[in-house]
Amino acid sequence: MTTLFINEEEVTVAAGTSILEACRQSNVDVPYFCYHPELSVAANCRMCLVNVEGWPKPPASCCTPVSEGMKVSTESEALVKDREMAMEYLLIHHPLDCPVCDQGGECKLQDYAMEHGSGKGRYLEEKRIIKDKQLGPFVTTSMTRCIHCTRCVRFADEIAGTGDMGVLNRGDHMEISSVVDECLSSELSGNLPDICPVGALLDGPSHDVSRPWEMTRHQSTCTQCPQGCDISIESRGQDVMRIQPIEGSPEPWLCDRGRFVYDAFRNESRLLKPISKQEKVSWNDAINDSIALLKDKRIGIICSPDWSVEGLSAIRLLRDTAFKNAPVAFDLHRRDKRSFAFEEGFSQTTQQIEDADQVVILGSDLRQRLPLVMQRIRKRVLADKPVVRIGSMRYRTNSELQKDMLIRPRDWVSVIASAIEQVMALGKQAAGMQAWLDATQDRHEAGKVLADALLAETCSLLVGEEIRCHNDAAALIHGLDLLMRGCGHAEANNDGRNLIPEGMNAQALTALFAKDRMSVSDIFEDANQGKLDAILLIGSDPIGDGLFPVQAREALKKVALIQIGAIQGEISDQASVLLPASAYSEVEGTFINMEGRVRTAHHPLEVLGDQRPLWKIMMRLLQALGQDIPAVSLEELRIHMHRFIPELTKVDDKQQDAIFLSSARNRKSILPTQITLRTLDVVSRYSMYREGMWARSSELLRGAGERQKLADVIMHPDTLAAQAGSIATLDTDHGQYQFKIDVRDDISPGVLFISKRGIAGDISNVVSVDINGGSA
Amino acid sequence: MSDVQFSPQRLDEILTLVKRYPKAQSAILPVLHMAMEDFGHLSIPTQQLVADTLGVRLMMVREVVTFYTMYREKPCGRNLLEVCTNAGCMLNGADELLAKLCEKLKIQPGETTDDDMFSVIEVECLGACGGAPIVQINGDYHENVTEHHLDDVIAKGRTHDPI
Amino acid sequence: MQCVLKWLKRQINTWLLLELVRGLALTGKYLFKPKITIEYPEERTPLSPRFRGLHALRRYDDGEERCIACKLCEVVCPALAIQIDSEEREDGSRRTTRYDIDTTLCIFCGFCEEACPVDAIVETQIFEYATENRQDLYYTKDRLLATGDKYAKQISANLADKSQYN
Repeated sequence: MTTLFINEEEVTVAAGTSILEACRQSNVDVPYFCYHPELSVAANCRMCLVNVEGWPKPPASCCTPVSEGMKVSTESEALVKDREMAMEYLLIHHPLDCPVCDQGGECKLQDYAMEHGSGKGRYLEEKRIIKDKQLGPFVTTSMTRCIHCTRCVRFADEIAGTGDMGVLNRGDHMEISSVVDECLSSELSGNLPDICPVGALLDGPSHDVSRPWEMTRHQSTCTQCPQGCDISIESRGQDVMRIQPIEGSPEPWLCDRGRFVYDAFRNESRLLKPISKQEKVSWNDAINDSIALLKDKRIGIICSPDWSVEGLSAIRLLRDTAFKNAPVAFDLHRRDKRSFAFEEGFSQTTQQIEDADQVVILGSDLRQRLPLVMQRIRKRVLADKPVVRIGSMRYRTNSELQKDMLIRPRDWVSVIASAIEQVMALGKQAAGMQAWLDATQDRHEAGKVLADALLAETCSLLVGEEIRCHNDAAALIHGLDLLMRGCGHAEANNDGRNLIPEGMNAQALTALFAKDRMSVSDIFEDANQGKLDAILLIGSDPIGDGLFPVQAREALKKVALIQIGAIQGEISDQASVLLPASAYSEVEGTFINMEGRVRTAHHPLEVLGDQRPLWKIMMRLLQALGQDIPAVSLEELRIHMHRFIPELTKVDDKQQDAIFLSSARNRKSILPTQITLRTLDVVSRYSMYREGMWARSSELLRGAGERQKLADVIMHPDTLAAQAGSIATLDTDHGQYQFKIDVRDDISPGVLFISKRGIAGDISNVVSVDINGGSA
Repeated sequence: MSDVQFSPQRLDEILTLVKRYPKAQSAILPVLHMAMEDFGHLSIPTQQLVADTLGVRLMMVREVVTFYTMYREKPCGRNLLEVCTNAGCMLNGADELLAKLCEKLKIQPGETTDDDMFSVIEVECLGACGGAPIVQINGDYHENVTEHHLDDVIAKGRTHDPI
Repeated sequence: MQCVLKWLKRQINTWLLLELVRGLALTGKYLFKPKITIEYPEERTPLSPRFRGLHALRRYDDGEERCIACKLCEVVCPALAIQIDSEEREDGSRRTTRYDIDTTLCIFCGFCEEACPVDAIVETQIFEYATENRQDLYYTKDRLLATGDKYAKQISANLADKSQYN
């Protein structure tokens, strides 16, 4: 720690902190443009000059580290003059077009020109004009306004890791440029307008539409991925204008999915009125129609994880009161309903993952799945910390991984077995290891990578959907848990066991429904066999997103579907009754992210149409079913919620980040079973631009997804001698499929990659494959 | 890759050079000089070659190439006229001088005449403000240049006389 | 004594009709003075160039509308009478798609005019815009532009006049 004096006040900061950061920490205002806490220091705007006693010239505070006893002053007559001159230079070529500039009103240059600039410019020569750049679908540029702070260059280089931006020429001719246009195909590109301190890079979709002072800000939680970022939804009247990250929240950036999904908040796929038999009806009629389908019937409940914990608790209340034995499914992709050694959710914060000695990514396209965790991984890689990955495809990353092993999904057992064997050879033991090992035969070389990583002091496992959605997931995760335990990573708070969930509120869902959980496939199977009369679908879309669309379609021919949701999906055509519920942005409620971090939204968006909060609909259904209503207000509902999840009682707004919910654990031994092996292993990946009803309804995301999409069907050239353009004919239990295939060598041999997860699920039991050569 | 390649001797030379610096990035300037010698000018493929040889991003090389005026991205004519337009020269009429020169040669700054005889570049301070305006002609400093002097230079250049 | 004098004075005032005479004298004086009232609809008083009457949106000489949708008038309006929606026009310029002034809310303070960086919104000297229903007092962009076109000359002359006070 270093103690220094800022404006004669004593301040203590960590050694090596810059003067500017010390000032920021002690709330002393120093103007700056090019400095950004998340980016490297460039020191090229010269606005942050301060006086240091005994120094002949004022240093740039952003790049000057503090030293013991330093006396810094941020206000003096000389500094006023210096800042005025710095502003004059910055404004030389800056156009005076604030009235048409979207940044106007939240522009640092505008603010500082008022605060520190001189009232008059002395520059009478001609101003220059710079051609605009193409920086992806979400960024509009006006490069003439650029003041060359190079934040965007550093962002592209350090954070996005894609595209190649730089500063060309010098002096008067200086300009930001990229080697190729369209360079920034990053999943974080929406952050560029935020980091630009002037109006050179602007938010594309809201360009020329609104002004910052017109916005009403609604603090909320993004439920588009398990990360659950803090967001500020900016609305103007009924319209949602943008979604912005909240300063000071755990993640400094926001991904494009969370940012531009608002496009779907106001489009026609929103469910605004109750619909019964394809016609808009009143709430009373809709409830009566639902009751006719539900009362004294055997139902299956499928719910989405996006609802607030209050909403989910209400579902539990409905089930407990009216449908005692109804099976519940909340993960459209998990096949294995047994409880896992470590359930969905992280045991570490993203910061802890960044700091761990070793990180292993197991079967996940992390960049699409959790872009902000991938961002942390990138920070690790840049700091020369190891990251290894095992999976069936080398998904594009924005950083170089130390080791990248390709395996087939069927190899997971042998990989873990081989790792256990190697760990045991080193004399590290855990009860149950031998039994697990005995149940397997094959060994896979990738096990060495896993074992090596686990031997580190702290190791962070990021277990992805290839394992979570595996038929034998419980055994695999038990194997991983044995490995962790054997290597001395005891079960504790920060124990490195991170299972990436499908959506938000994973810990709450496990607490509420784990006992009665079924896989979605089982529910549809029951429906097909006549064991169910109706399916109550609360907010998800098994046809659009699920693994088993064919099965779902068949089941829905036999049973009635009552859908409750904020938005319609591909399944909605099949629904007998549709009840409109308020979306995550429109409710007061509690949300839990994958780390177990709890957030409460207090100031929701205005509710649209006839929508009601989910919990009210649940209570209304209960009332109509002739039951007592357990809660009539949100406060009463929260009492029940606290009963279901006692940890939530401790949550207090003031210490938001202090409480983390841990994911459920299971110490029961689960051994791998022999699974019928099919000709090919079918693999699919989660696409952040396409998955989920909200993202699919968002024009903006769809457009961006087109640019980033992989071919529909991909195989390794060694697999059945596949050639690009050949036609593969697959015989499956669900019938015959034909695909035109693309060939890439970053996919594991013996694997068939299908970009749409639904199709991948349908054909996951490939019986035989016939590849017809020649190009079509 | 592209057709532009360093000769094996050159690669050896670059390798020894890189070893002198803590980071390969530091060798961009001398390697670019070598590339200029080998290829005459630094086209984008050449810059890519330098970037790949040193393991840096192409944009880093481009930043350096466009910053320093002694690196040229385009091939230049037999005679290279570099006119300084920084403060000292500007006050002594460099802008007018450059305009006149371009008018005489019927080209814009940064261009080469059709007969490949002259190239004109606008450059930053050449460090000889005492003799402003200054024009660097084929590497030699010509101080206190006047329009008359330029006529002379152009005439000499056209007749292949040494300037 | 005092009391008697006061009484006497009042009697004289009353019986000699002195107050009436004085009043009539005043009336008579104005009868011959020049008139300051005017016969309103036919005759009009001169208006200051700074008069703040009905609003108008102006155009440039080439017919391009001036308003650039900066929304400064909207935000400065103390009566919240202005509503603007904007969009990027096909040629890339920022333009309004809606510019409404509700004159029933407007307090004619002239802030919008002062806030405008391009002199697009102005208050004209028109004050006779009474209508038969309230809806007609809601001025849309088209109507504001029409007013601006109709009185373009007068508005420019007034603006030129006004500039001396800035």
